[in-house]
Amino acid sequence: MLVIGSGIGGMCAAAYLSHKGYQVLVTEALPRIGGHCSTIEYQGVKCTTGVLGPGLGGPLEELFQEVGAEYNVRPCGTPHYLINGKIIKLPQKGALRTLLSAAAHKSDDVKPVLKAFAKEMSSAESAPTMSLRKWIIQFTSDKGILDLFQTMTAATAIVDIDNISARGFFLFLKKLRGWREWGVCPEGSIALPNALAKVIEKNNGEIWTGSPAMCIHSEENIARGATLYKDGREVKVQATVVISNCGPKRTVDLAGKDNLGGDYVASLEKLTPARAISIHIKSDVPLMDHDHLLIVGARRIIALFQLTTVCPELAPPGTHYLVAAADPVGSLEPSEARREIDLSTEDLRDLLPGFESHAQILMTGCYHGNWPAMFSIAGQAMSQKTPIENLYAVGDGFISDAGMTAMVGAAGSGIEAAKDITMHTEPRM
Amino acid sequence: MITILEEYCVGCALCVPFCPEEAISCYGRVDVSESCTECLTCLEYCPVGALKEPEQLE
Repeated sequence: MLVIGSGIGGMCAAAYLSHKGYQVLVTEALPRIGGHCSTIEYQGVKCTTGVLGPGLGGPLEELFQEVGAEYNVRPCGTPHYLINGKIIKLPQKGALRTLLSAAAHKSDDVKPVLKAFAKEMSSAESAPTMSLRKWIIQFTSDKGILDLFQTMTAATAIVDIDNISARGFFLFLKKLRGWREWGVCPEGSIALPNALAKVIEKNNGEIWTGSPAMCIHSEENIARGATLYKDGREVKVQATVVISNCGPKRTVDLAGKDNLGGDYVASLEKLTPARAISIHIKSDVPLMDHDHLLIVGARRIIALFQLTTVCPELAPPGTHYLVAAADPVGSLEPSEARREIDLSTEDLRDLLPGFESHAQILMTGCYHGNWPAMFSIAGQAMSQKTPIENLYAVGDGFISDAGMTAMVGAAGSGIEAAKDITMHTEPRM
Repeated sequence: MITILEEYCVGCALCVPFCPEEAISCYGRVDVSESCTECLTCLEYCPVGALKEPEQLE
C-alpha cells in the first residue's frame, strides 16, 4: 500500500490499513507531516497550518480508538457570537431563534425563517439544490439574517451562502449538529498525524518525509506503484494499491491525464475550492474573554479563536495565541489578496480592543490556488475511486459524503477508501 | 537571494517561520529581503514549489 501525501486523509487511510495487517509506505514531499493538519513553531508559538482543532466524537475519534492512537484533544467552551456589538451565548435549546433575534433588523422576519428552517431539519427529504442565499431570500431579505447565515457557513464549512446549496447546508447541519463540540490539541494539530504515524510505525509501516512522488505507474488501467524522489535519487516503489492524498490537480499530473480519462479530469477541474485567510496573532494580554467567537457583519473576519484559552501550552508563558479567520468571497490574486488582508486587519482593530497596543501579527496566510483551504467546498460529492483500478484519491477534494466537509470530511475520505480496499485486497506481510 | 516564482506562490506564509535570518515576509505574496543567505531551508518547506535557487531560473 503506497500513500502519497501525509494529510489527515492519507494518514487515516494508512493507519487503518496498517492496523489491519497491510504493509504501508507513506511518502510526503515536505519535511513535515500533516499538510493542513500540522503545526509550525514560530517565535515560540505552535502555529497551526490550517486545522484549529478536531471534532469530539464522530468518525475521526472512532478511528483513533479503533487503531489505538492517542486522541489528545481538549474540549472548547460553548460558542459565542458577536452580533451588532453584543456577545450572544448559544443556549442549549433555541439557539437559532436566539441568533436570528439578535441579528435581524426586522424582527417580523425571524418567524418565517425559523419555521422554514425547522421544516428542513425535520424533513427526511433533501433540501432544494438552489444556493442557500436563494433559499433564505424566499423568506427574508434582511441583511442581518443574511450576514448571520454567511458567518455560519463560512465558520463551519469555509463557504459563502452563494456557493453552498441549501441541500449541502442542511445535510451538513444534520450530520454535524452545527459547531457545538470540538477541541484543541495541546501540542498543536500535528499531534493527530503524529499519533497515527506511531500506529503505522508500530505495525512495521514506513513514513518518508522530504520524498515527493514523481509519477504514479499504471499498467492496463491498474495501479502498480510510483516513482518517488528520496535522498537525491529516484526510487521505484511497487504497490498493489496507490492512495493519492496530494490534491486533485497533482493526482492528475502524477497519474497522467490520458490514463485517468477526459471525463474524470473534467469533473475534478469543475470542483470549487475553498479560499481563506488565516491571521496568526501573538499577544501579551488575552484579547478576548472567550476561546472562540463567531463574528456576524464584519468586513471580512468571520471567526476569532484564542487557542491558548483552551491550551496555554501553545504559546510561551504569559503570551496568547489567536487565529483570525477570514473567508473572502473573491479572488486572492496579489492585489486583491492585499486588499482582503487590509480589510481583515481593520476588522481586528475594531473587534479586539487590545489589538493595537498588545498584539503582533506573526504571519498571514492566504489559502487558494494550489494550496487552498479545501480542494472542494461541501456538497460536491466525489468518490475516492478513480478510473484507474486500485488508485484511490483521498483528502478534502474527495469527500463522497455531501454532508461532510473540512478536516472531518478529509479524514472520512481516507477511512472510507481504506475500508473499501480491505474488501477486495488481502493483507500481504 | 532566493527567487520567488510569482505564478506558483499563493502567499500561504508557511515558509516564513523556517527562515533562520527572518528574511521572508508575506503579505499576500512572499517577499525575500537582502539578509537572505541562500541557505535553501525555505525551499524544502514550500508546499507549492514556488521558491527556487537563483541559478535554477535559466
